Amino acid sequence: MLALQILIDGFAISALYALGATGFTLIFGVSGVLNLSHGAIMVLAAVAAWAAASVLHVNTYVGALVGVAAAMVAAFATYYAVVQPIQKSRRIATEEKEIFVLTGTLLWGIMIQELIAYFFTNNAKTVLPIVEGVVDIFGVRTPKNEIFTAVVCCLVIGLLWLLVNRTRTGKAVLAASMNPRGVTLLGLELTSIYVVVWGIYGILAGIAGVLLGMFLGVSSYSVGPLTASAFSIVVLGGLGSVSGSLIAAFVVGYLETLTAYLFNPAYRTIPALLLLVVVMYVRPQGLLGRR
Amino acid sequence: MGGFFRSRLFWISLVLVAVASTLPLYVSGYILGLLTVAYYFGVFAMAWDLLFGFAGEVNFGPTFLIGVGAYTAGILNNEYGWSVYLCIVLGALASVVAGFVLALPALRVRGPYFGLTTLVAVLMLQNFVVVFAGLTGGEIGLTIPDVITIDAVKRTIDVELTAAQLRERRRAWRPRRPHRRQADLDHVWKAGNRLAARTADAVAPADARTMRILRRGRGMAIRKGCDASGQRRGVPRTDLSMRAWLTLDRPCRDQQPQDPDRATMRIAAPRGGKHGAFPCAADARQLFTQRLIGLAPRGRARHA
Repeated sequence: MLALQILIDGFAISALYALGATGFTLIFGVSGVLNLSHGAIMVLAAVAAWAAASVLHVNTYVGALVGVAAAMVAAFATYYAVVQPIQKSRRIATEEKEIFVLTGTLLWGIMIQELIAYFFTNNAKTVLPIVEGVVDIFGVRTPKNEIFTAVVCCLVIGLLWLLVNRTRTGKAVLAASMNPRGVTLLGLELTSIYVVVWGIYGILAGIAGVLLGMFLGVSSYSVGPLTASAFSIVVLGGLGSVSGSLIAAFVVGYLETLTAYLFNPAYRTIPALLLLVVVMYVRPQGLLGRR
Repeated sequence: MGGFFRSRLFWISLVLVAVASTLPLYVSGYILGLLTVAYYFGVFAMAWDLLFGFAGEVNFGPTFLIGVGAYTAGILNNEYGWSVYLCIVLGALASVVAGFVLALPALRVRGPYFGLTTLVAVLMLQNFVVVFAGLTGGEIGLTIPDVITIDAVKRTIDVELTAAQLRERRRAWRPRRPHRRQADLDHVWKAGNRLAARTADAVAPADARTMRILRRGRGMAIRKGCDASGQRRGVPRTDLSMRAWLTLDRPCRDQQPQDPDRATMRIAAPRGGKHGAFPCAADARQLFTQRLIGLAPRGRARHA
């Protein structure tokens, strides 16, 4: 019974982590940008969905769409207002650009966080779930919303796989992650590929954020921990490796669920962090890292 | 080296340091509070810049070291009641040790990986703070009995005294210092009141009861939320600054000052008068405040 419970809960939370981390690792894999405003964009999506549903009183589907749209807008804003100016700047030395992007996106995330706190307060917000009710799976009472979350996450990740591997745009994205110079030599505009990737990233982060808002609830305080967990999952799996971060997401998700159920919910994140330190120590490139 | 001492920069910085270090003598508590935070951020930023600007290591965990230092100092002070200064030194030492412990695994990796390792350190610390909530106060935070206060007088005056109390004090001082204008008196009071500083270390019994003072080493330290015997009680912990309870409820003109609680402080009737030396409660409070921050001499009352 307990094992099944852990299995189900762990799967839902892991799928959510996986979706959240996928966009993050995609951006890094293709354009080499570590986007530290990731958590802020996810929270923004959830808060936008919450505001649409509870302030404007639209139905939950429209609310979720509003959330995803907000995340997309925020992702494009991050790219055009923060990342691109730094990458194009001639006054910043090339080897320092990575650090500038890190700092820039970190500050950008804090700005979004403060704006959310200013307009919508720091209180935790829970987005109204799209599907309500509880089902009984072999004696484990599971909210339908949890199943919905897991299904949507798997679906979106599957669609992403199809997009990257089966479409022309996706192949261009894949190529850009392998060899940017080669892509430009083939006559593809690198910037437009980046724009597409940031769009995909916005959708992924938006869906993950809205689902998180339905599943666990968010507040502007969760920005930092969300970024940190995405970052650690991605590094655990290997920076830039999508499959690596999927595996890592499930490892972290199940580790946290096991700790919470078998030991103490207060210790929830500690084993995952310890694992991360150990992995850093023995295999700095992560589980499936390329370098 | 000689060139360094003759350079204009050196002298400018010397003047700046001199001005900055004497600021508590002539600026208000508000500005001091503001500057404390500003200086704190200055040191924080310099520490970070040392690592990033000079060594090129992006450290996402400066708060790890700050947290270790702060919690070490706070817990030592809280649990063992050691001197604040000793606790600060020990906290700094703990930070250095934590820095070595953090650097050992983190320096093996570069760039974003280094940043992540330091970030993980902060997250771990945060988790452990919650796990050992009994020691650290968890998410609510640590209440520390002692802090270093410089502007106790000003803060007391600015914050605690109501307009009615000020009026009371003016009335009290008027007969004895008729040649001084009231505004001057107030000014003198705010600046530390040398007049009263020469008087006595004395406090009315009523104050001793309400103020909850503990004698501790040199000078006086106030334990937040302590009663007279030094036992901790569930008294308000909202105040960040240490502040004396200066809630004097009744004037002591008609009372013969008596010996107060042994644990608190000696109360002496000022010489040269029966109890005329305390025209009103405000005077007792004033004397007490002087005594509290060490402006008044420790000895027996010498009221003019």
